[in-house]
Amino acid sequence: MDSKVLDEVMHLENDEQTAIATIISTRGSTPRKSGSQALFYRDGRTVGTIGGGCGEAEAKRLALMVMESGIPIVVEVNLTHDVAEADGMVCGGVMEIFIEPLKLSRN
Amino acid sequence: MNMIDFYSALNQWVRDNRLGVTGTIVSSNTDSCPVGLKFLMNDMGQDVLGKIEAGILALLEDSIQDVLSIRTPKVVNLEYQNGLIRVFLDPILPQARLLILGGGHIAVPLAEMGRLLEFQVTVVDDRPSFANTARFQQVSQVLCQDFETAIREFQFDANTYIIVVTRGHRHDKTCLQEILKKTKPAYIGMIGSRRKVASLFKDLREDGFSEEELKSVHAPIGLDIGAQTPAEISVSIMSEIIMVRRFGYSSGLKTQGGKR
Repeated sequence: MDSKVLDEVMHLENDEQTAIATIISTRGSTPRKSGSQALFYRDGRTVGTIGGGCGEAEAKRLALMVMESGIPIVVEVNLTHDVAEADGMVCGGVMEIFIEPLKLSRN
Repeated sequence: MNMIDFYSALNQWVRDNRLGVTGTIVSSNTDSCPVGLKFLMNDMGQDVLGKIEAGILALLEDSIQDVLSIRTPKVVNLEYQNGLIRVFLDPILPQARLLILGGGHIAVPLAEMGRLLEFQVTVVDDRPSFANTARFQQVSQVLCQDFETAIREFQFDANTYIIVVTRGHRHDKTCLQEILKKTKPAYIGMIGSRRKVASLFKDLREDGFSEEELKSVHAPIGLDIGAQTPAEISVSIMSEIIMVRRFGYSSGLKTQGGKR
C-alpha cells in the first residue's frame, strides 16, 4: 500500500476512471519492492511510482487498456532485457504487477 | 465493482494508525471469488467489512499473521472448492513517528526531513518562541510543554523514533531519564560531543541506569559524513534513522566511539 496513492484515491472525482498498478512480487533486482503502487489517470498523469523507466511505462500502457476493458490483469515485467543488457550488464529482475481499474461512485 | 466502502474503511484504518492487512484477489477461476475483490482484515485476521467467504479467510489465517510479522506483502495460492485463487496480502503498518525533543536550529531541518521521509513528526520545546507552528509549519504536532510531561504523555511503541536535541545538558539528561523508563522505542538518539555524552552517561549510570539501557542510546548521533551545518547534521541523523529502520542496526558515530 502507498499512502500517497490512497490519499489520491480519496480525492478522486466522482466516476473518474483510473487504474492502480501494484507490484505483487519481485525476483532479482528491481527498483521497488512488492506493495509499491502507482495510480494512473486517462490523461497520463501518475501518482506514486512502481520504479519508473520502461517497467512503469509498460504498466501505464496496460493500465490504459484496463481502464477500457474494466478487467483487472496480472502482468510480468521483465527488467532483464532492459537497455542495460545491451551494454553487457544484466542487473535487472522480474516483477509481477496487478493492474486494476478504479472508479469511485459516491451516491 | 464499487470500491468506495473499501477505500473509505481503509483510509480510516490508516488514519487511526491501526495494524491490519488488505487482501486482493489477483487471479481466480471461481465465480464466488472474483478477481479484483478486496477485503480488509484487522490484526486478528478478522474480515472487517464482511467481503470474503469464511472458508477462504480460514485458509489465509497463517499467511495473514505471517505478513504482519515479516512486515512484507506476499502472494498466497489457495485451492478452494475446486478452484484456484491467488490472493495478494499487504500489511497495513502504522505510520512511523518521529519525536524531536528541542525546537532549536537543528530541529527545523530535522522536522522537514522527517516529513519528507513520511514520518508523523512531533516537536517539543518548553519555550513558546521555539515551539510554535509558524516555526514548524508542516509538522503534525508542536507541543509547548516541559520535556518530562511531553515524554510521559507520548505513546511509545516499536515504531517511534526519538531525537534528543534540546538546548542543553540538563534538559538532555531529563529527556533520557524519562525516555529510558518507557517502552523501548525503535530509536533513541542524542546529539552531543563525545565528551558531553561520556559525562552525561556517567551521571545516568550513577542514577542506576544499566549499560544495556545506555547502549540503546545512539550518541554521538548520526552517520559520519562530516556534517557541519544544521541541515547537514540533520541529513546525518536522518540517515542513521533510515539505516535503523531498514537494517535494524546503525554503523554510525556511536559504533566508532565518536572517532574517525
